[in-house]
Amino acid sequence: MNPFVIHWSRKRILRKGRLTSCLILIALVMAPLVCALIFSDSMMEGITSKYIYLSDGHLQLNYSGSRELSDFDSDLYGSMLYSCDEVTSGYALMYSATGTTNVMVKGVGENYFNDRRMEQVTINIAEQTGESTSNIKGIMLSRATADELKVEIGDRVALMIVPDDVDKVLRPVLCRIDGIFYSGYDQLDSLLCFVDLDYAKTLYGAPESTCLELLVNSEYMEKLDDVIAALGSGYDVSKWDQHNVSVYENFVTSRQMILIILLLVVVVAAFYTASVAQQMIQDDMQDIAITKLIGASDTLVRRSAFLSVYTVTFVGMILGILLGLLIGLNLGPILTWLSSMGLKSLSFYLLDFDITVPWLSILLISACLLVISYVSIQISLGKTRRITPIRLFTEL
Amino acid sequence: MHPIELVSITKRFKAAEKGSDEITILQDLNLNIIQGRSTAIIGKSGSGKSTLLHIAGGLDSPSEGHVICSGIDFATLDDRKRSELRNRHIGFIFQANLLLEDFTAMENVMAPALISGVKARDCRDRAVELLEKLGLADRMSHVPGQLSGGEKQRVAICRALMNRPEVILADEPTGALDEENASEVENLLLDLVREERRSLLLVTHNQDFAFKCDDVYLLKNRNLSLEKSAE
Repeated sequence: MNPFVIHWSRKRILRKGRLTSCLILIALVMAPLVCALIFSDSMMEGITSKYIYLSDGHLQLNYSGSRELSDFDSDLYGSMLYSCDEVTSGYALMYSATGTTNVMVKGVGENYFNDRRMEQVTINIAEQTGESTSNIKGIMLSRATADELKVEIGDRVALMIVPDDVDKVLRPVLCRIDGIFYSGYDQLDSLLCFVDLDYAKTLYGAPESTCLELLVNSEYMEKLDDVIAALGSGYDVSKWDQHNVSVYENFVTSRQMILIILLLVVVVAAFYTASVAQQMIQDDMQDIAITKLIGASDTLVRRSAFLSVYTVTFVGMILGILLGLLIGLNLGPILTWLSSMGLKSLSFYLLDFDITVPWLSILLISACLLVISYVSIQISLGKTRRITPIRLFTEL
Repeated sequence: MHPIELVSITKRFKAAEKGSDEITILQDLNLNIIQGRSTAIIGKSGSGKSTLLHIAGGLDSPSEGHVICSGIDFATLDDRKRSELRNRHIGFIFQANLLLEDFTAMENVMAPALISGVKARDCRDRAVELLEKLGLADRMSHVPGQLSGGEKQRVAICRALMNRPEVILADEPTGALDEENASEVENLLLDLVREERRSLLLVTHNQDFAFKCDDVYLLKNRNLSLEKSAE
């Protein structure tokens, strides 16, 4: 590149003023965008994990009438499957002395809460004080439900089971709260409660109420269709998103909308750089005419102006991304602090989740910023053609 | 081949009033700038001296005629080639020094070389040499705002000579200076031009300065008449 182009660009960038404010603005636009992308993607990933590990598994094998679920041998799929648990579930009305709520009662075996599930949930269990002689069965409900019903470990709640058979009479059963769990996502927690699998089978006897919940190994998480194909025919297999269509579609739509909105913000920022370039040309009209007088071609003048604005845009973008990453990677403590300040709306979100950096989306908005800035700056620099040395003596 | 040849130059301007006839400033004018000689053009204000200089430097186009610079007709060149020709073959000095305000004296002097693609480290010595010759050794890192009028004009002279152009075009280079500074700058310019064996086309209404040149022309009635010749 021509030495004068580099020299003049550096001079312009170092001159405090418009270009500095452009750099700050681009950085301040990019930082929240990156932060928003990290927040939305991490939150969605986190909520998805809660649904997968506590509610539906990666895959569910449901009773289809052609093959018995008891025939399923998970050992055959060793490298693919992490765990296979039989669960029985149904809906019930739960009430305490002070409140009522709807819950999904999920009957699980004693190995259900494996390491991966335990990463998603915190459980407080009642201390065992000897063998219980009572017939009252234990239940584990969420902290959200416990708060709503104003109950704690050791208290009793009644479940009004909705029977499979319409001819059956509604019957309440009494349960003792043996444990309280907390996944961090109140929206899901408030729907779930866990009981012993055998006991659940007595409550919900229909074969349709029982299924196998499969967790796949990490390398197959994005290849669920391959796992389904390997399972072969004879089972009615469904994925977690088929059980939670509205949740899943909300995520997809939200993610698309967020990306579109962020892209629009980036487009506005990119056009701002063009207006900065235009203003810079206006301010530097005399210098441009002088450089043309001493032999700079219009192309050289444009290159220099372009390099100044584009460098500032690029540096601002990088600074913004770094700032966004810095905030984004510390979202957990920030959200916890906001929550402690009494921000109620945070109860709809996870407060504790693994941070996922959506590099592809960040790359997309960065590329969008650079491409649109490139085009719009080039267009706005077309004005330099009209600045001729003779204007030094006639107009400037 | 002359550094600059003006061949049958006519320049007309549109009249300010609508419907009025065009005004002819220069009419069928011919002039050769001879290698290594200084040429001055004198004339009254408004006689067209500056217009002539602008045309000679390729800054303005004649209505008729041709400007040949180092054997190349300006009219045949596009913007890039015309700029390149100006950069390599012509140095400009104007009454208003026209320095780049953000650049130091050294950077202003180096600018034509940088534009022609020479790296800063390769042209620094030449810039230092020129600035030292013109007594600006201690002003190299000063920006124009920190320099006096005379100093700025000396920086402009250094810049004009930086690329060792064949010809220097100077339009009232001492017009904005006090008598003492003006005389000093006049002598420096003429000495440097002679020392570096460059051609000079000087446009001025200062007859004393003009008659220090080898050839002097008077621009009157849209054409030139020879007032003095060194031959």
